[in-house]
Amino acid sequence: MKPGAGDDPFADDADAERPNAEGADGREGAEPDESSEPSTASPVDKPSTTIPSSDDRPESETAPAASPGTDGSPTVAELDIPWVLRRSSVKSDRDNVHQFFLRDDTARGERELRSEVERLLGKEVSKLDLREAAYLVAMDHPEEVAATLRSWGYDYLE
Amino acid sequence: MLTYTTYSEAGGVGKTTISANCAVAHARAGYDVLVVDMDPQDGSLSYLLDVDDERATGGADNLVRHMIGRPQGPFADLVRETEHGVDVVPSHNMLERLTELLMKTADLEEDTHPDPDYVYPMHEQLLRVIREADVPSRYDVLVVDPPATAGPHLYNALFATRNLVIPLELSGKGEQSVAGLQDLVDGLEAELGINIGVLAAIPNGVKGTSDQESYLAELEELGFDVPVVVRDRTSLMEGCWRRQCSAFTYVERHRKRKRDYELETLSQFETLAEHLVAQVGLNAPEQPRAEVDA
Repeated sequence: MKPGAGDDPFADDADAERPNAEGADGREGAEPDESSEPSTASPVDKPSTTIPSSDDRPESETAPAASPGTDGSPTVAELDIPWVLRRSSVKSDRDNVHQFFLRDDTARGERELRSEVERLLGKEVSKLDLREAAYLVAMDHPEEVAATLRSWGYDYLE
Repeated sequence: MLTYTTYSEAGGVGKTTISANCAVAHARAGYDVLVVDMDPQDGSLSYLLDVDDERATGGADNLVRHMIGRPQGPFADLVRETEHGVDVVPSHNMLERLTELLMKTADLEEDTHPDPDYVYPMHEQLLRVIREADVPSRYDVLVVDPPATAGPHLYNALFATRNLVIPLELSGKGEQSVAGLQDLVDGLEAELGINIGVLAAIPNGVKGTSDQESYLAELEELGFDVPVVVRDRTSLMEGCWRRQCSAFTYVERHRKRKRDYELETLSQFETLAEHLVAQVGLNAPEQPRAEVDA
């Protein structure tokens, strides 16, 4: 991001039928395969500070701060009824959208994890719930997260 | 062609009113303008310009259907003409599920693609739709108004427009939102292999306190153009939302007495629009279309 104009998204259209002409800097991103390459080091992947840490997240997911009663505090009903029963849709309270860019193996792993968790619970699990639950579990295991990053070669980065 | 996304990490800074009024200012200057409303919230630009009547109609064709490759008709049928001839692709409730629907499409496309390494370009779908609809040859200006959250709406908007216009309030919060936005955009540029420019930062609702003067100085130090500072015009903006129109139309039709300071705000939107046009070297609309330097 810089002051002034960015790329021309339609630069290719004027002089080529196929959108494969390169921009002046040689990295015009019209080629889908190339520009969507998963990147393990993308800042977009980084958890933001808005994700609750293991210290301050609600113990039983019964009283998220995002659903206040009329006076701003959770109502009794909200405290008593578990979130998945109380919410109107799977997106309820999920105002923070964090995009995951996954490598194929990870996406496959997610499918396997989902079936395994579904087997344990004996019911279907939505992908959004699965991902958030998995993320919360990971927050309790920072050492294992670090070990995985090491296995990707993090120790060799500057 | 001039293309930009209006975005601010903080809500309530007048993102939608600035999008709408810039679009109207471009149209009044003679340009053909298309605004794509990607904000699923009820108080979005399509509400302001009074074309959100089909947002909750389940069967209605809408932008999301086009983005996931399941349109129900031509793109041109999505477009609604609003005041001053500004064309708008209205918001639809299906935009709330854009993330989920793009991911489902990605699963399907990748599972069925002959190349096992194929990656579905999830953030390039708006650009694809716009290209396929021949928008660059039909319009001079494209404005995309995404919701104020990071996610596929914003990523698609930036991939399609490559330019940002950042409305913000002059406060600690506003400054933080610019810094946060910088991180996000840097990440996106690397991820998508594109360059994103900031055409302008627009302090909005400014009341002129000394703190705000210093924030303004810091903002200019970041190197962003600040072509206008829009003063606090609460009554004008509330009037626009009540009457569902731009500030131009509100002052023309609904103010019995013209107020100099409101006319000044209108001329600021015109100045801003001219500044944005100049940034990409768009030729004046009188020029033959063939000479327009896209």
